[in-house]
Amino acid sequence: MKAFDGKNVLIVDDEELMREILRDEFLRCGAAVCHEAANGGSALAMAKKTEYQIIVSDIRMPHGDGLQLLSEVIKLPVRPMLFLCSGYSDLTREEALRKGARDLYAKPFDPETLVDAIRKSVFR
Amino acid sequence: MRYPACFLDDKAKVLFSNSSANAHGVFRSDTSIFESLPHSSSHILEALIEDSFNSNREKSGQFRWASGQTFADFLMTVTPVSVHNRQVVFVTIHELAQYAEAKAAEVVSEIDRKPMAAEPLNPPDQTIESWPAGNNEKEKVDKELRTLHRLLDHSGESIIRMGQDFKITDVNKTAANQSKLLARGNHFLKAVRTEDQTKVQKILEQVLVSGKAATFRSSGAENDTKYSTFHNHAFVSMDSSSDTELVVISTDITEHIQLENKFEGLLGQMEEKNAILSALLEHSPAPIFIEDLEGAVLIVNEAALKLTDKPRKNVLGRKHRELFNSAIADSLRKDSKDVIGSKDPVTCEKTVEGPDDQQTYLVSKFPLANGDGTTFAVGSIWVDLTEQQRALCSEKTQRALCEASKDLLAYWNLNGKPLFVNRTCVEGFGWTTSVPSIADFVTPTAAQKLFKEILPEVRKSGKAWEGRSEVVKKATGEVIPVWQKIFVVTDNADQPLYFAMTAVDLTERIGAQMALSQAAKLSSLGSMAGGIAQEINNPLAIIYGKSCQIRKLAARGDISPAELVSELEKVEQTALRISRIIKGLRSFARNGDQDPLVDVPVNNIIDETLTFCQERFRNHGIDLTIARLPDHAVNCRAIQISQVLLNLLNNAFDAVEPLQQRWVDLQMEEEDGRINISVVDSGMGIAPRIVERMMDPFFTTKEPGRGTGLGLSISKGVIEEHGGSLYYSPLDGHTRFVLTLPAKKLNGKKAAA
Repeated sequence: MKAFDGKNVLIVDDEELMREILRDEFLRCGAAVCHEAANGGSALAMAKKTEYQIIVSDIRMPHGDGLQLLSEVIKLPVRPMLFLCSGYSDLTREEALRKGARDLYAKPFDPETLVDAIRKSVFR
Repeated sequence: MRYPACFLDDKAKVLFSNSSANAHGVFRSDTSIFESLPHSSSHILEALIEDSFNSNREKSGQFRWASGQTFADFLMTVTPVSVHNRQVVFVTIHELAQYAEAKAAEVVSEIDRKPMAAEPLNPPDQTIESWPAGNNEKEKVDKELRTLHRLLDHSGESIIRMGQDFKITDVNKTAANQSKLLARGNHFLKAVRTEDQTKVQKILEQVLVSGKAATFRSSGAENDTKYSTFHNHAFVSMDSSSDTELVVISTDITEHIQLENKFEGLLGQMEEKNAILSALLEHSPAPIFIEDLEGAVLIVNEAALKLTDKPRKNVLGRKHRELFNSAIADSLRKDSKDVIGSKDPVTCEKTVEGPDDQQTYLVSKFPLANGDGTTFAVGSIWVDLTEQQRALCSEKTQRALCEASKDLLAYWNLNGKPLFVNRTCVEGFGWTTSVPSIADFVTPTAAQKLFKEILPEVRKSGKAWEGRSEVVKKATGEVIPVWQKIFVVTDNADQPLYFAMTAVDLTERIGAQMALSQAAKLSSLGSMAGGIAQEINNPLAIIYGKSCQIRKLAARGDISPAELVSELEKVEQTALRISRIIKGLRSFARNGDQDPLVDVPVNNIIDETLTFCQERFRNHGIDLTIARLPDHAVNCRAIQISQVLLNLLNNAFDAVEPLQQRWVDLQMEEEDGRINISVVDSGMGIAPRIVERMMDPFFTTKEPGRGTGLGLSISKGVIEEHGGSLYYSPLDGHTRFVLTLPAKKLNGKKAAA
């Protein structure tokens, strides 16, 4: 049994290759659905249509960043767990948690390690 | 006279003979009397004449004169006479027979007549003939008359007696000496100048009629005493025994008149001089005092009154202590004493409390001496030094400031001839005022610009010109960049007088600027470091992520070679992305002003610039749109243009980042052989007061520490060096900066102008 069986995952990042990396990893870990969005705006639209249990989002993106997405997502009826990926010292982990994120990870990361950390967080 | 008579001198020469003598043909003038007399009698007659001269008495003698066959007896009478102070004798000859008869008749008619004018003070026995002898009373009266006569004779005035017919009856010695016209028997008026005669006659007639005395002036006759003026006193003298007699006492006042005229002339001159002096005194702006030897004020002028601030009546006659404070007064009094003692002028400075605060004067004191050299007064003139001193000090200070300045300060006349160059000019640049034109101080190009453009414009508008220029160091011939300000100096009538300039040596500044620009770039870099880090981090994360995944898959043998190749390619590409960013960084940091000018396609420049900043825009979610112009190039140093463009884009970025609407638009167009690159942002324009100054060096709106404010001024400089321009021009209310450069077609030919 794979870790993310039956889980819907949404990956939000404006870098295509980054999305590819994460998608490959999640799918390998058994995610049921792994969707991608290039920015916060389209991500929210998708999140409203589909119930995602997990959203992994980059913070800095044109046309709606990760924090905006977070503030919207926590209002959803079924609140997904949102994990933020930070390339720079945008905010501290404590701040991210206070804002409602499930966790905050720094780039660059080993994708396997990242996904594993997410799994641990989800299934705690 | 009926008988021949003549006057002889002491040599017996005939001086004058009467008509009777002439009729008889005897006693010719200038001949010896003896020529006319019989030789036989000459010795008698000689003795007679000599005797008379010697004794000064009348002598008579008889002699016989033969005439043909007949002869007659004659009597010669020799009478010594003084005529005009000259001793002569009066000789008469009578035929004896007739003589006695005639003499008797004469005696009778001569009883009241006085001796003749020509006769001297007669010795007493001269008059014996006229008077009956042996009358004592008569003798006494006679003596008195004679004394009186003597007095009158010696009087300094002329005394003339005349009858009602104005015929002179008698004159005194003075009168006789005064004029020979004043002689017995002559008409008085003949002795008066023609033009006065009528007047005098009237006056004398009036005197006769009224019996009242009169005083009048008259002038002597022209042919006689023509320049003489006389003061005459005329009155009637009544003598019981004779007719009414008129007496005129006449004083020669010629000299007096002359003196009078001279005096009047002098008086007139004096009055004139006085008037001049008064005017000078009163109009002199310098206070003037004249004081006597005791120090009391004799004369004071308006300016002096103003100085002492007292009315005239309180100044005249007062001494120093009453007019000035004691210290000054004593000092002034001492100076006066020195002047009096030494007779030399004394000058020294005094500071007094004038009507308007303290004033300094140069007081010159000098002695005033009268004709014989005695000092009778001391004069003082006060020259106000205050203004002069203040001006001098002020001038001195200003001059010192001028010389101390490290800027080049100079001024020249309207023809360009330098009149003043300060120390910095002289010592630092070797400039002098001995050259004919300021063109000597600058490069030929700068001189051209100066005389053809700058100076005429400054003169016309009256406004200062400020800008960059070049001057020459004379010693080395070095060309030095300066920041120059030139303005026109006008005179009191607002007419242009000189051109003046200040110039700051920019060498250091430029060096500093360059260092600063480097620093600015680096500081921009610093502020962009965060962005750059971010930009590098994404590709880096991708490279790392992919590498991890590939590694693990390969370790498990879960990746095919084809897949491996494909994945690794992605990694490579991503690595190259980072490389481009690094390259961009390097170019940005580099100073490109030594690069050669080459034709560079505009797009290349755009791309180069974008590689560096596009990520940043993307990462911050700021839309950057680009409208490209293919086929166009510019001749330039690509790095520099790219840096300028980057500067504009960064500014735009900073401007819109905090706004709601955030976009930046990069536009390009070709116009008249020029390429216009515009950077428009969503900001709503820049405030005019900032627009005014934003191209100035060191001007910034950013907080201290953020931005050095060099970007725009340096960018502008760079573009202008490329023959282009950089300016602000809002578009539809949005902030827009336009950068223009001369265009070139990509095939090498210049774009149509």
